[in-house]
Amino acid sequence: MISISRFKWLNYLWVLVFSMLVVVSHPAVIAAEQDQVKLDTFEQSIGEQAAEQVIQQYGGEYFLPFEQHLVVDEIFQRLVAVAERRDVNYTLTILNTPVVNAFALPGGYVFLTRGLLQLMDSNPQAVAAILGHEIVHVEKRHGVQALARQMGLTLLIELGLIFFDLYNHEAVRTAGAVVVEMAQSGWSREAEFEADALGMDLAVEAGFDPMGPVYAMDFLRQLEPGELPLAWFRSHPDEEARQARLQEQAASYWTPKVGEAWRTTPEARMTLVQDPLGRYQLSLDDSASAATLEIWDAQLEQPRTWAEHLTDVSAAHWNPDGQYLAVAGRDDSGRRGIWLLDRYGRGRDPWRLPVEGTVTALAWESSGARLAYVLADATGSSIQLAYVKGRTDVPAAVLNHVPDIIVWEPDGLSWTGESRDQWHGVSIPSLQPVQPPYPVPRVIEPDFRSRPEVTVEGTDDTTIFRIRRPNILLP
Amino acid sequence: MRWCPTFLRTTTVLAGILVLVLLPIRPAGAGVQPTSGPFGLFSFHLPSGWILQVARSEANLQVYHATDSAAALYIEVVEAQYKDVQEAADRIVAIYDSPWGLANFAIREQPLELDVGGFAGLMLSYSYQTAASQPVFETRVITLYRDHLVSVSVASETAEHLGPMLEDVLATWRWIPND
Repeated sequence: MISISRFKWLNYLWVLVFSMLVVVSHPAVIAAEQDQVKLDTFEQSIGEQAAEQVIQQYGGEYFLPFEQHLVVDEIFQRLVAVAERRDVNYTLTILNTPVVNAFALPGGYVFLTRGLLQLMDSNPQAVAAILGHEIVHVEKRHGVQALARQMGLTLLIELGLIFFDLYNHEAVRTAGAVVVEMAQSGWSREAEFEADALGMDLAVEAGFDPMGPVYAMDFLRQLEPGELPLAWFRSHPDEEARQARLQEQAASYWTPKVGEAWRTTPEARMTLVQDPLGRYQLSLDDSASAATLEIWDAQLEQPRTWAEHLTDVSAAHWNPDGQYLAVAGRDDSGRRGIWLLDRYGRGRDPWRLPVEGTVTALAWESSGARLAYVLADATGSSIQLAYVKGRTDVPAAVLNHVPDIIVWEPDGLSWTGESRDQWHGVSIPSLQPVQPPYPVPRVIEPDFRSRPEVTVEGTDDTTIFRIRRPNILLP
Repeated sequence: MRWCPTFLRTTTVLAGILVLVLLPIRPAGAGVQPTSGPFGLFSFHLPSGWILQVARSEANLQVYHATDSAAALYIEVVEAQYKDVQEAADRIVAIYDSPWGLANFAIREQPLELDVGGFAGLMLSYSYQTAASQPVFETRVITLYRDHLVSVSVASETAEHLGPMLEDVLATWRWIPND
């Protein structure tokens, strides 16, 4: 009798314990403030454990040259500064591998690979986009949520142990190993979409370009399918939809300034075609039936025609340092688009080929990183923004008229049509340049190659001194 | 041939005129050259024996190469928010000595306070190793001027003469007024 009643009592106890575990594992309970601290501690422990595994797995930490380290760290710190969770101590580690990947672990451990930074040429906007995305994974606890789904009841029990302060190293180690596996292959489709959207918000709030994620995706798509980072692409079979979603969100940050008086005057157009280095004068003779790009070369004092394969040239604009000339026109096979010519007028390959419509105006921003152009078709027009090294453009504004002048302002873009009587504009989120407030001077190594190199050859009778010329870089 | 006094006098005068005429046509680089630094913040006289390396220079960086050795002189100007030069020096040493910094970085002498055209400066002397395992000795003077960190460095394969080389540059240092 006694043994039977003890058995029954034990059964009741297990039911009670299990019920408590399920109850405390419920999100509403997890959110309770007193339990939140314990959950954060557990999250931190898993992340710490997993981070060690990741660093070992990827060949250790890679230490960037300090100039590059300061820039990447500045980007990361700016993003962390606008993140919401104050309980997380964010750390960024560069992994020493040529593999292109980026991921974040619970507890604020963010990883980029050396290969990813090389691929993106450490471009601040693209790197900020990647880091913003990863930080959101931590902010929204995507790792812990995915872990709960993956480990199911086992994890619930472990989580239950958290609330009784009974979890042990073995439980953390097991969870950490699962997290490492999952983090590298991406959390869930929903989590990735959320990280895309909120990551862009985070980057913009930190003073980066909303186009950054679009630009980053352009970089990633240069890779072969087998080289694509799993964390970014395995859970995104519909890459086109993701790209479209990013473009749409990026465009939403630009605010129309319809009806407002803008500073730009029609004289601004004169600056559009002047060579910043003063050698060339452009002439767009749009009275001709098939406008070509006529150049007056002040150095050789003779006229020239550049890009003879282009006709119907509608706009041209030098980039700020005078190294590229963007030209909108139509080539000899009838394709309309934009060509980038170098300083000597060379460049046959089109840079942008819109599927439909023609380019009626274009303008570089002062940094030379982005080009804005007007794309017009029968239904109307839009202003597109393009990164010079990117492949995907983002519409900054959709218009019901066709401007033929577009000008970058300090805080946006303005444009006008043929009537010149009204200027319209759109404000663009201001970009804060990445400039560490506490910089460290560069270290320039002496050019040891400039020292004459003397070698002695010969026999007892003859001695030959060979002197290699010093390699001094003359001004 | 007999040297008459008239001939001697005439020859001397002509030789004197010739010297006076040829004096200003000294080859460039034969003596000190007045030079302005990046962004026109300051000027100094570049001692003889240095030539500008255009290929390694940028808008905020001037790199000079010694004509008779492998030494480099370079001047960099960057915007900065340091409250004083000591804070800047501490940060510089901490970064150079970090895993992201210079291989085998070692301080050779204690930082030395000095005057740079009327502003407080610090001289840092250290050594490090290049990627090709070549030891480099460097002396760097830093100062703060109008929210800029100004750094003047001399680097060479030996530690000798680095200080005097820098002193030659700093002796003629003048800050250019804002307006």
